[in-house]
Amino acid sequence: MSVSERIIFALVCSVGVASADVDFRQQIQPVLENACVRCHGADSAKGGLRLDTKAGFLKGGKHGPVIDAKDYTKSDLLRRISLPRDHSDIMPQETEPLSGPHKNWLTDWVRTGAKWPDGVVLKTRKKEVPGLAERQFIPEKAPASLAAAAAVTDQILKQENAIAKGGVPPLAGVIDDLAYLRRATLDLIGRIPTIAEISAFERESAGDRRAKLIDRLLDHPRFAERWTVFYADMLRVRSQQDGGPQLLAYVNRSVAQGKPYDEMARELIATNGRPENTPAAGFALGDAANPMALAGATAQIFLGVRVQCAECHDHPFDDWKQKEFYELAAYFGTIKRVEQGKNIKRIYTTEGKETAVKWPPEREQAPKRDGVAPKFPFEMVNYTTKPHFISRLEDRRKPDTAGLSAVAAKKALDELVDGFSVKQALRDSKSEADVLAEAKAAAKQGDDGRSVYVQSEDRRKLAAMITDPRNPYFARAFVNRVWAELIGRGFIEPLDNISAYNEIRHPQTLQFLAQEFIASGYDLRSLVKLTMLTETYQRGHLAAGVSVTDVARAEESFTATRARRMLGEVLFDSVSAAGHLLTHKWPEGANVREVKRQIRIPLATAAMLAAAEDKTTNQPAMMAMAKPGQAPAPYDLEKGANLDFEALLKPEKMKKGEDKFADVLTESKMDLEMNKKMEDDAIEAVRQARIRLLRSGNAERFRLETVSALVDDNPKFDTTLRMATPAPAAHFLRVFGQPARDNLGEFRDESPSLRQELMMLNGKATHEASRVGPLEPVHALISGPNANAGKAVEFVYLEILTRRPTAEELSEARAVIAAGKDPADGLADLRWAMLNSHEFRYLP
Amino acid sequence: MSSCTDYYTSRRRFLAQSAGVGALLGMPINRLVAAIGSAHAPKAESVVLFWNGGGMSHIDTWDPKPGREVGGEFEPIKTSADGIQISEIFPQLAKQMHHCSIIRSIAGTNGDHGRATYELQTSHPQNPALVHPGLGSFVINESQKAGDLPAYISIGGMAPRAGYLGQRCEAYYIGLPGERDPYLAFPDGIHHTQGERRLEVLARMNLRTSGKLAARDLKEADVALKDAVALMKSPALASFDLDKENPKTLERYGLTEFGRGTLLAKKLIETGVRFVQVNRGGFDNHMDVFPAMRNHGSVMDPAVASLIEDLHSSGRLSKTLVIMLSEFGRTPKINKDAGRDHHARVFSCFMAGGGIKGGQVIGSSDKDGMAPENRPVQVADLHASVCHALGIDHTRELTTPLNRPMKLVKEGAKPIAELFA
Repeated sequence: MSVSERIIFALVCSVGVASADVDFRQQIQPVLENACVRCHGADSAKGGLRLDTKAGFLKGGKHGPVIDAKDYTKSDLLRRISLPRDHSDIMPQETEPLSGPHKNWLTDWVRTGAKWPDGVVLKTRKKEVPGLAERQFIPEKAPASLAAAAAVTDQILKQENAIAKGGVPPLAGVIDDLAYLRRATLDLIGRIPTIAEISAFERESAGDRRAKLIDRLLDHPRFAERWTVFYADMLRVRSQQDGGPQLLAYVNRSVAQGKPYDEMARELIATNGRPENTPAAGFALGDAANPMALAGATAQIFLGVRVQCAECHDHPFDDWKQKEFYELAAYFGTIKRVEQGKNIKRIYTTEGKETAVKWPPEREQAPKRDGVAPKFPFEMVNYTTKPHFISRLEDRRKPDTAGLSAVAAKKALDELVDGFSVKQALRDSKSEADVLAEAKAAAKQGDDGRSVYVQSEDRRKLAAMITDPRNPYFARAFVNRVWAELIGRGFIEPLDNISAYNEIRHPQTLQFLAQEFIASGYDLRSLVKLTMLTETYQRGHLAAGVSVTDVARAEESFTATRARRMLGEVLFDSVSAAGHLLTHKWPEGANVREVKRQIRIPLATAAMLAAAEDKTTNQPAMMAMAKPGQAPAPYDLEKGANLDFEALLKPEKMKKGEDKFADVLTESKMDLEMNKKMEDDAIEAVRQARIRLLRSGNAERFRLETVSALVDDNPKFDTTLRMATPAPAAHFLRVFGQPARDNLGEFRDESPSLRQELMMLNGKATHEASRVGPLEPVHALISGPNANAGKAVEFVYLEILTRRPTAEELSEARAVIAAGKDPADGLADLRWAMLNSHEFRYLP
Repeated sequence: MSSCTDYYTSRRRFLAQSAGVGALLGMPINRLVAAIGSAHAPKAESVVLFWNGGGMSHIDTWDPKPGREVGGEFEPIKTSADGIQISEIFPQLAKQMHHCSIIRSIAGTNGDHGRATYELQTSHPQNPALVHPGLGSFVINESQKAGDLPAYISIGGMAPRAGYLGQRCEAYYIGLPGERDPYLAFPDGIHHTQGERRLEVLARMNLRTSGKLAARDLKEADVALKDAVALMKSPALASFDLDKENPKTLERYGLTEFGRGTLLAKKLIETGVRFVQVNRGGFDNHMDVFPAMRNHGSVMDPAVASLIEDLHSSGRLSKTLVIMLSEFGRTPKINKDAGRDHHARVFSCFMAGGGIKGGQVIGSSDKDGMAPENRPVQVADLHASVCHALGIDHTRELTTPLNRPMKLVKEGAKPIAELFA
């Protein structure tokens, strides 16, 4: 529930709503089991109080009885549950305070005599996998097609909404065709549709144009770019981290190739090596190969479960124990991050000998700490008969298992999951020659400085269990994320918090989608297509005037979508696309102007500065932020880039004529070569120069000078989908909510801000996009012999807002054009306003 | 202007606001009333935070150890406060010591840059489950904005994030002090009248959309747009400009980015900005710490000393809390590269103005600067003290958008009483 909703609900409930007889089993038992019995039960009786048995309840604890038989209003139980949140006596202590209805139930129950049926003993709620209990709405048979599956999804959702409490929320209509085109194009390829794409769409027959559109967009090269952003957010890819650029390139290629999600997950979890050779190793390096961090990250990212709190203590409001966390971390226990080389650093992961994960925890300073054995804390689902979605998965992956016996079929399933091998992953990522050498290198153990990439059997097992189709978290967590990406809200919020204490409103819809996802072979494109074929995806928004509560309820029930804002990357690329900025739209020489800039001239001599410069860096070119003497150009915060992902993924070239086996030595040889490049003397010389510079008092002093130059400022922008990510702080993308990705659980922030407005109102991209260049299509409509203001207006409305103008808008637009110093200038005013409007930025 | 969590109204706040609370001196009246009961009436209205990233060596700055092997290259010098000596790299600050307090006994626990920075900036240990707001964000969350300029400005580096307080509590970023920010004015080639015309067209378009959609974000977007336009038109923008400053003033603060940034901070405070963070890096001196600190001294000393002097002469010092923080200190033992490594067990910080008592040292470290000896101070006590100076209740609980209760400052923190005695 949203906060405002809670308030209203609570207010309504606390105004003595007439109470029916309280049902112990339905009402009191769950409340006590969820909130009380953990601390006041068989395992632990805090304050000497047991609330799991009738006898214990009646007896009370060290503070006396919890019920006052003479005057129920004085009962300590009721007093405590009604205290303010920060009161030290409040109960429950270890979890959220009771909600209004629950408090009322207890109050009514006590008031009517606190009757406890004989023989009923309460148990602490066992850690249960949430959302799997009911299945009545999920059809037994597999759907015949993706379209059929979409219809089933809508059906299940509708049924789950029907039985939910609170009545049916308002239903929004389905959006019209052009709105769908805009939404789908933005979601799938990360920019607004072009005029050509609009025409093509409208030419299709009405019945299947939406489905055909999806297929076209799924095949578009930008699909991989746009969904790389999704994965980059989810996996916390950071280009500045070790192996970051390679990891980004790996993700991009995996999406482009349609690599099954489970395969990618296994590679990310289990691969050791050097990112330049095996880019999936970048995932572990992102957390500095720290077992504790990796355990938390792996669980949260791939399973959607927040166990991180349990690193330091038993989870305060969920069921994970600290020991379980350590057991999970133990799978990563022997991972080792190795850093070699003095000047050019080479970083990789491998396996060490001793586990770093020991019990008891370090903080307790126990005399003896033992290595923890890995243990998987998540329950698998036991199927008595193999469900159809797993059979379909197997069929897809091993087409020749048809006709095998049951035993063999089970074996096939196990092999399916175990089938992943490091060799396979290596084979995929490099040419054969290197694979052989790599494998030999991996087999060797050496202490003589030779690099060794040992793989972890434990992590391989962990990866297998995580991606097992019987694991109830893996597929659902991912489906939840994709659904949220497309609809604007997950089935489970926050997206990475699947917990028994986090209500899932539509568990069966989620489960159905997860099943279909597994059956498709964990295929992202299938899942996306299925989602976008549902009516739910195509719902519009509720009109202004609908109450805030109704809007909230509708959004939670998916009977209306919320107005999502474009991602920063999508916004920027859409402005570029709308303004034809991806290519030059002005002829050479048309934008010559005097550009004045204030530059900083260091007071230290150029020689001193050069001598002290640090020349060693491995990172790909990123935007240089302010350094003394080197101010970024004013509009650098809007730059895109075009990283060459292929180059990042090319395996290192072997020297000609060298023996295949000798490339193990190539590693060490390379180091020596690098050393030769920068002799120790040279290193020392730079150091001394730095010291002199620092002592001079002039290291940072500068004077300002204004320089001007004539520049042909012919604007052209790159896409922002291929930049090093996250962008530098203060960059357009960050201002528009791109997360820094350091922490887990960081999601895109869509809230508007002052800075966002300033960057759009006065930014170079918007300005240049508005200007009408002679080389862009609308120019012929606004100036020259065939100029027609009305046609120009219709053109820009389609191009920028993917719709046609109303009569009112048309006449207003004509007035704007006429008010400009010439029609092209007036049109620029109009386009500027359209690019800055809410309608542009928020999805239809 | 309303404060940040306006939309995500917690239940308490909902009740407090509906009681029709007014404001005085930039603070809601109910809080002022609460403060009257306490011994210290809050004097500070604004904060200038100097964030020194990398772990600034405590021995080479505020906590010299003369005569000891760990003492290093610098000698201590006398200051304008009796009995207090600081490192020779700060000769001008030494003359301002009677306005300042030094804390020499901060007991940190984290030697990792990321975690320690997080803790020093938010008072909380880093938690993967959520992002806590930085000091600037939660300070401006608790106070009203004065004037057109953003309430929270970060110079020369990124401020810590606003976390669950959302975008509206993020700092306004200024990269190079004094450099004309192109985003604060219409682009070159767009004259004033044309710009105004464009804004009108935009307003009409947005009106049409707002009439159609129930999206709550649209209201916030409208507010952000209004604020942006107001800022663009505000005469207070002149504060961002350093070109018209007296060259002698610029020289006094130092012809460095840091010097200009500090001067800019003073001007912004004068216009009513509540929290300015001046960022500086280069303190992670595992190698050659002495030349590095010498350089830091030559840059920071004139700037910070001038700031304090100018605030004092304009009568604003008691209303402006100046504080200098770093994520940890550095090892007393000098390593083989003539540098010092991370040392969190004890380190120092520096404060001035804002109603705190000047000319004192609080706490001490042992003879080698290894561990706190007297009056150890927890990291979160620093944040509690900042809150106390501003009249903010640091024990207050906020509710995150996900309905999780969060304490403003870490549990158990107490303002350092000696600062306000």
